Amino acid sequence: MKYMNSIAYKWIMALTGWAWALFVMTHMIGNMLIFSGAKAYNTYSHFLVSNPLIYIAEAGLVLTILGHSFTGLFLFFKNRYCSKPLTYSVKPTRNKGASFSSQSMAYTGSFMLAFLITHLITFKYGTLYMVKYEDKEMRDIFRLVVEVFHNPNYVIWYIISLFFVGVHLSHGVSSGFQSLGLIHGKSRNIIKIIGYFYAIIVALGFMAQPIFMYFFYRG
Amino acid sequence: MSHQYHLKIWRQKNSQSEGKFENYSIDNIHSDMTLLEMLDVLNQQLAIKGEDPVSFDHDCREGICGSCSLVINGNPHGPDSGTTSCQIFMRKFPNGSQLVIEPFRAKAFPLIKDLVVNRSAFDRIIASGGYVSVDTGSSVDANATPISKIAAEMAMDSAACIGCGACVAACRNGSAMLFVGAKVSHLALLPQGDPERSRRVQNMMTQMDDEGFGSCTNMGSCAGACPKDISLDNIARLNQEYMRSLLKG
Ligand code: HEM
Ligand code: FES
Repeated sequence: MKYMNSIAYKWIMALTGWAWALFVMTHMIGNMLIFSGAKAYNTYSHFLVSNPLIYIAEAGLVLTILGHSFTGLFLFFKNRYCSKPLTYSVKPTRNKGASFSSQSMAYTGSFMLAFLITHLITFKYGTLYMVKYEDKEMRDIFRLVVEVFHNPNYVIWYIISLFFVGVHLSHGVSSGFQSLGLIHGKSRNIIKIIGYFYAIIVALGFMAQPIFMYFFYRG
Repeated sequence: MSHQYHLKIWRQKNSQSEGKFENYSIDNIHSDMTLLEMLDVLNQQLAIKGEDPVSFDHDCREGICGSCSLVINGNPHGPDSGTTSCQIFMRKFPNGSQLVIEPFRAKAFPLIKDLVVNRSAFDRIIASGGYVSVDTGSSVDANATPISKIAAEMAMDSAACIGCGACVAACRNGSAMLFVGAKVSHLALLPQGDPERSRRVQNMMTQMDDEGFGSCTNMGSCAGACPKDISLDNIARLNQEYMRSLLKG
């Protein structure tokens, strides 16, 4: 008996995908502090990075995204070029076809990986400004964010990237339920709708931040 | 009513040769003919002209055997849900329209000739676990094994699978998860399937992968193409059965 069969790979996709889906949701909610101004944002950021647990969390995120990306790309090439080398000359009708988001998981996913890397370079490893609040010195990440979000090119790139995050999640979240066997009968439609809402909330939540900064924040 | 059609049909001598589309025009097709009867008429005309007739699979022609296997205008078993190719009537297609007819395509279903593909991979998946152990001796009393109404209905829904392979043909990954899901579900839901329950899902999944079928991305085209409306719940249950087999052994 082989343990690593098509189902086992799906669990890897679903569990690592869900771990990241939870992370992006909390990341989006945490970042909403940007609307409360520099001090709240910087203190929150300082609280996160000065907590020793951050290393465990970061290691977990790196491992899961690597596992998710490599497994996802492996499955994509195995499926598209090994299991189904030929396709049909006519597109199927809607009832026998598949949604755009479900067909493009590997493309939106790869785009997200590229975005993730530039995102880390821009912010985590970006210019290190410092600020002092009541004698406590910490990183002024707010200043960097303001700076970046006043660059129209970056704002456009950021919004396009989040659009793809939304498309990926709009299939991914509900697909994870199916992969883990948690869907039966009538719950299928409800879980699909939950997945769409999850994706929309994450994408719009993140998009609101650069839009607000670019158009309304004059610090 | 008599109709006329433009046919674009995949012709391929054998698995080694290169295939290509061939165009045919056909008229005097009665709207109450089935699609396969229309192909019979075409083949008769080809035979009279001394040409090689188009090979296609069929047997019962009443939607129960799972032999017919055509992709019509990009749709396995044609545009309608819950229908086999043999149950499509020509009134479905407007007079003068074009029909593109292709074989089921997947690496695990190698082409034999024209529209005929080899689906024996399904037989080998069944042989690897799609069976139950039975008691020998004198026949058992009817209803000696109680089965709840709900379990019986759900098992019946899964058992409706006729093993035609349309799920594989529709899937962009060439995956057989809906087929294996239906077969595993059918037996997992019934007490008769219990002795081999864990072994069955593990062996059938190994066989599915070894045959070269792809894995599932939960796109759902398989269930859309299924002539017996086997639902995606069967795949969810298959995923859970595998997890259960690892935990319970
Ligand atoms: C923010 C990061 C990401 C999140 C939240 C995420 C989330 C998810 C989720 C929940 C699934 C569904 C799992 C399932 O169907 O069982 C999924 C599937 C998938 N993801 Fe991601 N993903 C992320 C990044 C990526 C990246 C970077 C790649 C590729 C380089 C990728 C490629 C894929 C692929 C190919 C699938 C489909 C796998 C399959 O169904 O077999 N994802 N993702
Ligand atoms: S020929 Fe038997 S199902 Fe179509």
